Amino acid sequence: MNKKLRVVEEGAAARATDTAPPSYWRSLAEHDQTAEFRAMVEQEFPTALEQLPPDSPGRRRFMEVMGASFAMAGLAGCRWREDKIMPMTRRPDGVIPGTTSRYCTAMEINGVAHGLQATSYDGRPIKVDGNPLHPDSLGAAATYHQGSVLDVYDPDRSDSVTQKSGSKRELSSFENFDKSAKEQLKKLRANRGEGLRVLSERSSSPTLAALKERWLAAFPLSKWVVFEALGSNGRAAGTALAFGKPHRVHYSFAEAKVVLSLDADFFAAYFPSGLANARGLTKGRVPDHAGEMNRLYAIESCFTGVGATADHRLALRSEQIKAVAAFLDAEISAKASPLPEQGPAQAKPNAEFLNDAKVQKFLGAVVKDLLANIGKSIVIAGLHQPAEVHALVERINVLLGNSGRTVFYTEDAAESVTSDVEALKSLTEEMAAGRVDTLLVLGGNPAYAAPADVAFGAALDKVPFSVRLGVYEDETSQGATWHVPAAHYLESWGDARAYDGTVSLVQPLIAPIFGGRSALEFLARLLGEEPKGLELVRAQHKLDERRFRKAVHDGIVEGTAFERVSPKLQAIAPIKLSERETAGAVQNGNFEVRFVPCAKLLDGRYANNAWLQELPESFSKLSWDNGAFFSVDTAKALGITDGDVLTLTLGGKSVDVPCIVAPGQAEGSVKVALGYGRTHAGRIGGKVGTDVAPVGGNVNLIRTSEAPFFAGGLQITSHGPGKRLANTQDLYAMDQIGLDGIAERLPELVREAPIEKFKEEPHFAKHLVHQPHSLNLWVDPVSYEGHKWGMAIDLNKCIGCSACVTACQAENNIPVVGQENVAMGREMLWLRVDRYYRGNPSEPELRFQPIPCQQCENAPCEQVCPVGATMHSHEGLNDMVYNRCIGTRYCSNNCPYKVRRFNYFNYNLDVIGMTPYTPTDDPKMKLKAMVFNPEVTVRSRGVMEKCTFCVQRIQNAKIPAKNAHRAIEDGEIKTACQETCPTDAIVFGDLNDQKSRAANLQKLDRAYQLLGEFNNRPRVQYLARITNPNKELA
Amino acid sequence: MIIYIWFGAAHKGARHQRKSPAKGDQSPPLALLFRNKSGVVQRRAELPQTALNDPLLANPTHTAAAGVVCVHARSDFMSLFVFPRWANKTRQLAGLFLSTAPIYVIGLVWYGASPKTTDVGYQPKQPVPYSHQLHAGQMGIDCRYCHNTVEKAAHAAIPPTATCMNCHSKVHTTSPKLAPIRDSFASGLPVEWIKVHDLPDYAYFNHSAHVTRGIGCVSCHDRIDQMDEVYQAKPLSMSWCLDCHRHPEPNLRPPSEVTNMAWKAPNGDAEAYGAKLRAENHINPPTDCSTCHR
Repeated sequence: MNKKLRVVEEGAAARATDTAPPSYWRSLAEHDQTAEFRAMVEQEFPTALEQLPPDSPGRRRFMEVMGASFAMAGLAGCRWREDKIMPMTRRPDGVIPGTTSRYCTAMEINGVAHGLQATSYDGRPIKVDGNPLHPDSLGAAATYHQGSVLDVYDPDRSDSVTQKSGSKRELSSFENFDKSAKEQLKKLRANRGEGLRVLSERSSSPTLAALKERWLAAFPLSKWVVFEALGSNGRAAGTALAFGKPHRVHYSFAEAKVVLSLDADFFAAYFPSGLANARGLTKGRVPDHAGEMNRLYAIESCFTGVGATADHRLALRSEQIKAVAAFLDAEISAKASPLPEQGPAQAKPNAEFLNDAKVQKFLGAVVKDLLANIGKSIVIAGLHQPAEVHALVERINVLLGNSGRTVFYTEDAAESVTSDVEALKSLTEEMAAGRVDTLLVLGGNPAYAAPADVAFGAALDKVPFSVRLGVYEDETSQGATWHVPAAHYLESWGDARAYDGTVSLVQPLIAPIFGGRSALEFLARLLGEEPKGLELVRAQHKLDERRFRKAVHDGIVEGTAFERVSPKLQAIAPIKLSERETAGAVQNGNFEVRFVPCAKLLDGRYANNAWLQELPESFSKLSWDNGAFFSVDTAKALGITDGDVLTLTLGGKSVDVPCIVAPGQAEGSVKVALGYGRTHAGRIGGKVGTDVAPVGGNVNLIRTSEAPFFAGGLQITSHGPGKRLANTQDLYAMDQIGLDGIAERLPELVREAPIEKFKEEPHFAKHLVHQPHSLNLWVDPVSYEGHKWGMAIDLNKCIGCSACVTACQAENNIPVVGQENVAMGREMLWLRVDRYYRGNPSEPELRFQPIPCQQCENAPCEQVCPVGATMHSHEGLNDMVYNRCIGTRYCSNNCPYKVRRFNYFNYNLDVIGMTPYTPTDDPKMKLKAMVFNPEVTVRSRGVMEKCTFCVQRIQNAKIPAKNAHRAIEDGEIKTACQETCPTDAIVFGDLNDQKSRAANLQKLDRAYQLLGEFNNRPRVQYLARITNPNKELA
Repeated sequence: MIIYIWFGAAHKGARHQRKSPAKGDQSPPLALLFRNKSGVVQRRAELPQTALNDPLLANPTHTAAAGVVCVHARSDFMSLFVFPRWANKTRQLAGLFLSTAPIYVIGLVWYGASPKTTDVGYQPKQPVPYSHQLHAGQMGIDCRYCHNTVEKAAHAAIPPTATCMNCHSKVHTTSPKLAPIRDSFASGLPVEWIKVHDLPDYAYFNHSAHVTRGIGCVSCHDRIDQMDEVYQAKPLSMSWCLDCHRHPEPNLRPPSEVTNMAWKAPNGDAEAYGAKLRAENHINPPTDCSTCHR
């Protein structure tokens, strides 16, 4: 390539010598060019096949998971089996066997409903996507939703009522439980519910709220306690400080010009309206056709999707945010002149770190930018931040005139100000003191998720009659007198509210497989009411038949959103800052530890979900484990590196987790993810008493109820290197030449420019690399008349959430390979999201780039296949014919994008013990096979596979269109990754259709081909990332 | 073939081993290469005696300490790369295999192409002796009365029991042959029909795509209306599918006639009539792999 023509924005010039660090880098090892990294890139495939004996400990987890089914495997090889056709005896109207239909439902996380559409195939749910009509979804879904469908068919789910008998648990039945519960409640009715407590998760269900009311009326002396492991009362208490009453805060990010995030991961699925926030914010970042872009500032302790998207990012510890908020209030109040009743500004905090030149410059620029955009900005704080921060943030929003323009308020329930942890703590104290004689635990897993100083599990043993309703028989069930299986949300009727209040109906896709009961049915039965979920929900909403049917069809009840209010800002008392909150650098022993909800396992509830366990975490690219995240400089000072086993000690309690050096982490702040180290999760997530060890370390063991989200005083002790982490970040590296190539090409892979430069030179991305006029060696095999499928991926919109990866796994029957195989570089995920750091490792920026198969027109893979197992279709797809593949892996070798995946084993059989073709009479084994998508072939050992652009979706749209003699409309076919994407970053379509979105996006100035100079003619084009930096911070 | 040649080469290696020193001699069978401190590769014999006498040399993990990096030092490790004695017999065995190869190839083709493999004539016993010959043939019930999803979906669904009972609640209500139907209708459990036309699971055939384009039922299922019990009449192999996808004319008919088992092209020239229909109805069957395989 011609270097003279390359527009060197930065980077490539710095690669003057071999040892100069690249401007973009995937990992610290690559940045520092460590010996290990160099050794690893020597090998195309990280570990030779021969080095993994079938009986190595590395495969043990598979064996555990698969159990008896190995014996079955021998039978599977027999000739053609006899297939049976079992038609329904009475087929309902409109039901066509062998086709899919979609039904709206909703899933609740942290007391907020997320509207979904579940795909049903012959009566069983096989896929979940977002509901476009739902305000919090807008058609998108997150990793949790995508993964939730696998839980329905998890054979480790609780399948029967069990009863505690001494230290053991005995099988019982619903009848026994009902009888026993009836007797107990009879007693309780007599004493008006004394000693009766109900512990539930946060729920916004109106039906549950009504049941709760009736429950408390029947048992007036009983108490209802709400505990959600991730539940924080910061925002509710903060708005109560600012406005006198707790409020919910809603944002219109699309209208905002300047956004400041104070430690807020407001794109996350557990953040209220997280996915809608992501859609809104990225909508305001489209620079094409002279569009304006918003500017995003992020101050955060660890990298989040927000920080990765931000134009400017400042890493500060979470505990320093309070002083920042006070500083911002002082500065902004001085200029925005608050009314007398709005109270005086906070005094400028006397904090050491605020005097730092870098921080001062950053905050100065932010204040100026906010004041220059009155009424067009948003300041948002993380849910884990204390009430004072939220109060100040809302004050700033009001003072900046954002209230009613970009920030909206609705009233929240009065009880939302109570702290979940405090509530659980006082309940636990009551239980330990013997004041609770009956306890109902509806969902949640407090015995695992409670902070270390709340010994819920131990106190549960002291309750004479305790009932646990749970989908899994987990840690909490172990201590309960009775465990009752709960129905999965895809098995039950229910309702819940979106964050804006819109009622969303939960519709079952399948009858409870294990006969579980929903919380609604469970309570109604105990109250002696009609225990049918549908009737309960129908009675609650009092809709006529037509409106009820419409609500079920749409998934939402229209017009049920809360009314927006304009609360009056009150004076906020001067906030006090502790020594820690104003301190600058901190030393070991005084580090901050930040407990974050896991982006995969949430609070641990998805620990037994193999899809989510295997998903590489967005920032560390680590799968199957958690770790403690350290900044580069902190790790250097401690002398620790990736994979070192660390003991984290806080307040005398400790836990062991591996070290992850995470550039961009705040100095002295350590991030750990919740949800790992489950001891009673199942055969994926860990179960004591079997040889399935817990996955990762349980950091709840060092959490305290005083500081459940972040705390100071952490001590780190290193024990040197541990096992190799299942990390996907350095996989698919190349040899030395390739490595140099990567370093040189990274600025060419992820192309970006500031908006000014883009305006001056709109085609910069196209001309970053000289594309010589290329001739083909042969005539094109096909003419691409008819359809010509292509995709555009907008790097400006990708937030790295990885929902697309799980969606792809669910849609395409991609097997799980297990921790050890991931560590060896054998993960099978067709779509990967590459993560690159950029710039100085102490203050890096972060870039994401999703890489599906590029469906090259001049495909290198097709040219080397000796058996024609990968062929070019007339629509330009690189078809993969599994049955022809003999596993030479030449195609993978020749693929410049490294998107091909090889089945080293029959992973489905080895990992989950089941393929759809495995004959078995074991009902639990059959259950596992139900999650497979029948529209996609399940691959076996020795076969190469890769992204097909969801060819099954293409065919299933093309055929009905042709049958009806009509053309396919643009947007009719959505790939699984596109459909779930919260930010609409992926657009698929027909490039021959000049009106299609994909074709028009590919025509944009900033569209470029990845490695297009190879004359591969990829069908995927990337839209260059455009940043909107503040000149003052440049 | 390649394997036999390779075995032949291996044979020589095995001979070499036969001449290798007697048991008890610790020296390895093949010349060993060592790398000395300065990185020069030397044969064992070229090494200074002091290096060879070093007891650490016996243990390859310690040879680096002795100043010599040893390549393939241990004979037990080396034996991995030397063929065992029985490998000497491979030449004779190869001859035997080669002489039987033609018989094997003929057998393979014979078996592979036989109707048994392609399942032509497969006629399993169904739970109810349902006769298409009676229902579709004599009584002339349209195929779509029962297989009513054939124009809309991939599957031409087997009718629910209720469809049978539409008539059989009045006709032959006590016939013992129909007992499974009545049982199913009463119990709600399905009648377990055996699939006759069973494509492999990696082939995704869509009935609606064919029927709406004017491919008659008879093209793939033959004269179902004359079958007492259904059997598979066509091979349903990939080449058979492709024959039609490449040259559909003989099988094309007006879409209104797809269920007419006895339909014949107007002037007897199916080829010419099919070509006309193909142009009229824009029929262009794809032959991409992803047409049928996903």
